[in-house]
Amino acid sequence: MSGKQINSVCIYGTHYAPLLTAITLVKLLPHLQGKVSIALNVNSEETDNYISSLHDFTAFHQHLGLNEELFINATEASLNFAIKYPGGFYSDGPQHKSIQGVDFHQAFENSTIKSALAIESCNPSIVAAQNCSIKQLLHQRKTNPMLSCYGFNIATEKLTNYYLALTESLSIPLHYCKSLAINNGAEAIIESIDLDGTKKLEADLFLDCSNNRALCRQTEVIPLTSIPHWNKEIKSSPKESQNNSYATYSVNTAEESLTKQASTQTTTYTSKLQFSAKGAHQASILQASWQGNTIAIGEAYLQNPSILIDKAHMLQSMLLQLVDLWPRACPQKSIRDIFNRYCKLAAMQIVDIDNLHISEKIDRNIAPTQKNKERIELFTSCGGIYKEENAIIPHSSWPLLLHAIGYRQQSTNIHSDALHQSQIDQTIGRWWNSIQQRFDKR
Amino acid sequence: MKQPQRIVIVGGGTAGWMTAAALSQTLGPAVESITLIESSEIGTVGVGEATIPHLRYFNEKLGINEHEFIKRTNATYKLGIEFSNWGANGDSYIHPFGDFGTKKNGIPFHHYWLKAQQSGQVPPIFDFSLPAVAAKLNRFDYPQNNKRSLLSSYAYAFHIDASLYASYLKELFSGNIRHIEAKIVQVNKDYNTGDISNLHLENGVIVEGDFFIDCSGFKALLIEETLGSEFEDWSRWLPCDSALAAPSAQTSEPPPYTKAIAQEAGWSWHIPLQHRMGNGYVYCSKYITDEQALETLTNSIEGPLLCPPKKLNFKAGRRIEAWKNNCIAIGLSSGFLEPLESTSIYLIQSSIMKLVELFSHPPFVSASRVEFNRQNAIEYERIKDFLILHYHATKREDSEFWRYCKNMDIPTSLKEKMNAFKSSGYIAHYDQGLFLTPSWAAVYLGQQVIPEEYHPNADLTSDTDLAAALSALRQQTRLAAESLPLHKEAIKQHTSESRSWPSASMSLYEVFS
Repeated sequence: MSGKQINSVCIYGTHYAPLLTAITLVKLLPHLQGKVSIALNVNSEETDNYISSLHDFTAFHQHLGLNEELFINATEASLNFAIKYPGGFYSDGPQHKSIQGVDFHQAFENSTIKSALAIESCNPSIVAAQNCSIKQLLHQRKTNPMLSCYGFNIATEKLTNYYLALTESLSIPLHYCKSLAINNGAEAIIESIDLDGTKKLEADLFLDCSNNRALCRQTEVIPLTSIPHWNKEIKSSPKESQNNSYATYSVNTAEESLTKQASTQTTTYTSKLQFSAKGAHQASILQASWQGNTIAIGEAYLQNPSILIDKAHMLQSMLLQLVDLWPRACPQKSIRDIFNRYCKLAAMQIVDIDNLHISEKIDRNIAPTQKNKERIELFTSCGGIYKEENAIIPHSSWPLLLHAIGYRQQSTNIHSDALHQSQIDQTIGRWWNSIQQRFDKR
Repeated sequence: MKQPQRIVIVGGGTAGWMTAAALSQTLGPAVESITLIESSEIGTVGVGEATIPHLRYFNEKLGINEHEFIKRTNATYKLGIEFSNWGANGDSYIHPFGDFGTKKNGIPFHHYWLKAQQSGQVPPIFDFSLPAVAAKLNRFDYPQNNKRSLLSSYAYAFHIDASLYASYLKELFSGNIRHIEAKIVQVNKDYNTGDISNLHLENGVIVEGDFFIDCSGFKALLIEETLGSEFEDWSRWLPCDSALAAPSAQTSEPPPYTKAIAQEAGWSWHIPLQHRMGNGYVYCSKYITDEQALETLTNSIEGPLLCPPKKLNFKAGRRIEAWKNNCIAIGLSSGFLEPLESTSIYLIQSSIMKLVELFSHPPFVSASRVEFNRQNAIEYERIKDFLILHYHATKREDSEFWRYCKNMDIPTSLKEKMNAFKSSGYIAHYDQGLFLTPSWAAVYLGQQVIPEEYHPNADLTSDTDLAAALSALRQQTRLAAESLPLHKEAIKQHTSESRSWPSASMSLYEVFS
């Protein structure tokens, strides 16, 4: 075995990220019990005070074996079944399967029903989010497979407190701190960190879960020009009376801004992203997530405005990959190379999704990335969907997202033209009816 | 305004007739015409006698009766491929259409096997694969529906007579298309667009078309000769460039697996059909002569030859733009990867499925073309890496050919995969393209690429518990395999009784994407 055996892991960061990282490692790699410690910086301000997640967050919690009812009770989270854009709704919930091998959205485009219905009215998650109360959905999600995909709207403070209680129950040592000093060894190796000048933590592997790349200052930062600079302002207010289980986006093209609103069970959060050349924040990525014995996870690795994909997603995605690859020793070049390549691919998918929302639609100075160019052209020309590896957005959900952002397909593929009109109408009609019957306003 | 399309398919081999059958079923009502042009004067290669489970999907979509298909193509069942002498002379393993053991604590079974192997004696990992054990016992039955049963843990494919398959498809679907028997003497292009506009046939007929599909095989009449689409040469990694193929009489019961035996300068295949054996030797002409290859081939065949060996020349690689202008290459015209993992017919099927999904009306084709070529490249690249692994992961140094393969510089993508496996047993997974974790594990471990480490979660099971669990699983696997009927009886039963075959999606299992 090459490298140094990993007998200790130190996780440094702010807010919920280091806590979730520690919980994940201990739960999914039980041999690390007793070997993981957390240095939690309490001096750093959280830029986002809520998370509006997609389904992956819920799936991740299930993977960790966390009790969802306890989680919801503890955090007062609400369910997020969809996101409303000016152009329509997005959901990553289950869709109708293909009709005789033709993707549903292609068949829908050729149906006569299209003139009377919007495609989102054929999506159970979207209809349920609009028509059912949170109470109904909290109950129905357990029994109705049509409602199996949802995210959460959560206050980050409550999420942090929930994870704090979990780390305590898992006996993971936690050290609070306000300042940090790094003791470097040779070749990008961190030997130890000093917390507030009083506490020294040594470890074989360090994970940087900070929002300012505190442990990775020597790693090259690459600016991402496919996203403009931005400012973010978040306001919170007591939850409004509406019961809808979806987040909303509104786009102001004149102001080059994007406003998102989401409610937990008690609070409504409104965040405004204002894009401009003078914005305080700039999207960037580290040249490599894993260098020496330090791994930048989540926001320490990728900094972006998190338009559709919440910050927790990158964190979770990287953690799952790390668990899959977990080395016994460090550094191990082959493992590190694969991990770094995976992280880059996952991050660039998120950057592409951010870019898709902004380019042309909000900021005309920002061009679509090459992948988005191909994606948009393929969809708008014939409804085709660009296929991606480890896709964040499911294949069947892409038409909803592109439609919601404002892209329309001009034609269909020829395969869908070969279906009998009456058969398409009947199939879609039956599906629509079954959704309405289940989730009609009551 | 949607203009009806006139589709013209050039070539009537396996690729041509699979394309014609699929397009007539999926696009038929929406296009003006589908024409297939073939000439009996031009022979077909008849590639891909051994298939992988995906073919069942294809047949199912066409509404083909599987029992009838078996009868008409003289098919036998296939549970995997036996590779002999690849990792080292005398080695042998089966790459099965199924998983090894079961996943536990979030990690694949092979990590547990590696742990057991490091702590002492352990049977080969192939003893924990139902299809591998059943194949060696010459047994077969349909996989079961009950996901908790070991007898659900595999998929199956066929060994077929590919030319009979093409004929069968022709018989079933030629009525749905316009079928022309003639030789093409000239291909004409539109000088403004560069698109192919029509084909002049030897009999004087001119066939106009809007979209052309090149199934002309190695000749690549449209895609290369007419449109000049470039070919990416992979022969530095896959140096075999010749093959001799010869059928022989059956001398024993046909086994439910293909044999791929590494030879001095390549490998020989033995594909058991109901009525004969398909044999061949894929070799590199730089290291042996055709005469030497012939001698090796004839020595490896048990029964008498049914006809003189047929020689094929090829170059491994792929067409950079398999879709260029208004023409798509399907089959050998789009690229060649030797049939080591029986991917030839799959690649035809995959191209057809991509085309059906992306085929759109003018003027909207350019985005579809870009996406088709991108997906096609991924498909070829991933199979390429997997094939190279077979040659490179060897200890053989007994011939110049094997010394070259062992020491050649491999693609970075494969190097990265191999290094990760060697250090930690990690197998990268992807969801586009063929061959998932169990397939990579089979070839790595079958060819003695043993990692230094295994995933730490395997240590959650104690050595004693693991030994007991492995012993029980091995026995259960053996008993389950022994409970299956003999392969020959299964063919007889399945084609003579009314027992229905499992749906393709059910039996595809998780071995392939």
